[in-house]
Amino acid sequence: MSRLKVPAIIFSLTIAYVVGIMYIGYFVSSIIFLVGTMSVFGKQGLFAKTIATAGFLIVVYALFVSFLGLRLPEGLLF
Amino acid sequence: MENVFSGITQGLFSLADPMILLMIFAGTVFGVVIGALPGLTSTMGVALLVPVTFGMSPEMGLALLGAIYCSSTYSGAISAILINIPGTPANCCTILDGYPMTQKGESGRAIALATSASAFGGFVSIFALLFLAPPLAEFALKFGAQDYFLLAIFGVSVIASLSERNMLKGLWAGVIGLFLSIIGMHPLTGDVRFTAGIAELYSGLPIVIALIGLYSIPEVISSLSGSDNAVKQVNTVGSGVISQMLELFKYKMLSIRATIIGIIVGIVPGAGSSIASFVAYDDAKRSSKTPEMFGKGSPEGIIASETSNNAVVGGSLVPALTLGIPGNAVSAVLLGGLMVHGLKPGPTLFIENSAIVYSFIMSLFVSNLAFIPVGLFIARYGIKLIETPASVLGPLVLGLAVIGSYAINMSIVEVGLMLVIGLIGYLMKEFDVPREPMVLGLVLGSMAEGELARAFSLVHGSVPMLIKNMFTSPLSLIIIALTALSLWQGVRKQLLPKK
Repeated sequence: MSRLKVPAIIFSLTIAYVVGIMYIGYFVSSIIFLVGTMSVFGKQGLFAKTIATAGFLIVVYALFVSFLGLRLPEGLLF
Repeated sequence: MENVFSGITQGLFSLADPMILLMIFAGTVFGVVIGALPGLTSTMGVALLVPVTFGMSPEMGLALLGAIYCSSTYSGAISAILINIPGTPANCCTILDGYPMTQKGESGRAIALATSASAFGGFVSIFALLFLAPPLAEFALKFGAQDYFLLAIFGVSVIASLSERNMLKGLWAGVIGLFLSIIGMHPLTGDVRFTAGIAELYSGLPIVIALIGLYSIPEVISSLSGSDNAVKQVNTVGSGVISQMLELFKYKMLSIRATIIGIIVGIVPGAGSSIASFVAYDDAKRSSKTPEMFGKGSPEGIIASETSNNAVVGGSLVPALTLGIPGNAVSAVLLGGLMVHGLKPGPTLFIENSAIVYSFIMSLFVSNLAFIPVGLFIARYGIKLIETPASVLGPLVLGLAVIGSYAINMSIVEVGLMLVIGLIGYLMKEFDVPREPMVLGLVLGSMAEGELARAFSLVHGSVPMLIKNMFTSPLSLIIIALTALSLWQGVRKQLLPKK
């Protein structure tokens, strides 16, 4: 049972994330997903989580939005 | 041969483009980090960055992906030597002597040797690619539709029988891959099959999406299932590493032998860098004057393992670029990267897109040197990075997989497909079914089907005619014989009592 716990959590969180991207918006969902998943699996301080999340969003913005010109799905928020 | 030399000059000119050099540098930094982080593999690194290459010219994109391939294969040695965990499966033999050297206080020497050995093996293997691939491509132009069909079947059979665990499971995985490859339109008639009405599947299951799911989700699950952060102690590297790199030249014969082993293993479809380093390690041990030192910190062990796994890079790209048959999972991803740029892997690639191919090959030479400074820098100053816990890395990889699979066609449906394939990949890993045969089946399936359809239309759909053609053409007969041989090898391995 415990063997299935990690994959079950990962798949449900990721599916929730994708649904969130469609309805809430990419950036807000990403922050919730990353900080949430990191909190579920680890005991790092808020500082480490914030740095990792911010770094991820900056990289995504620089690579995919500015460089590739990708239009991210816009939900209610951004 | 003249074509090769004009190609080389063309390729060298493209290296004068600062953007290409920038891409090599960026790919090297990313690759060194991915490779050094245990749990993140070369395949995952390349797959996650394929979507980013869309906005680039094919030359830039391939330079980036090639640099990731070279540098991540090398940098797994850093964690193997310093924390006794291989960064990628390719570096599992490096542990055997790398960590004992660290325990003896020789971590700097071990890192130095691993670096120069990787660069040597990688660099020489690109020469092999440069001079083996064009004649092979020219020869492959003689292949008819039926030969390509047989070749694709050969590719799947080899990888299945080479699967380290279980041939039957390997064959199953290959069949699943072949089945997934028939999703979408028929290559000739255009009939739409197994799409469940999903428009995104009409042109087939997107290979890059499949590879992202297959190689990132299962890895994240297994790294998060383990105890958070198994790293107990991170050893450091002292100064004076650069001068120690030259020690490699004391082991000339060993490096050359390991390079040749790596190139040959790389060319064989299905055998990847980890197999190469096992074979080379074993060979080095047998030919060494001091075999008793192996496993206790022998520099020869590190050299054999690291030279051969990087030599696989050049070897694996020979069948990938000339025949469209990837030698391993990483080169399958690279082929996916080629295809998203509208390039068709196969012998015509060297004629129709020679500028792109030679620019790619030339960039690989630079990539095999670029990881020297980057790797040494990370080993000396950035080693704390290895301590990044899985609970932080895992979510980041998931995030990259989601945005990457969305970016390819701006389609949220494809993100869903990626997750479904990820689930399949997780189940395969859980049931110990190798994933590589499935990738090969998926890549080679559409080739096999298209060529079989073409071969059929050449004989006006007559089955006996096609079979007769296959068994009377010498080329087809050779490929059939090779397929039978590889299957027989696999069967024999199964039947032999386990040691």
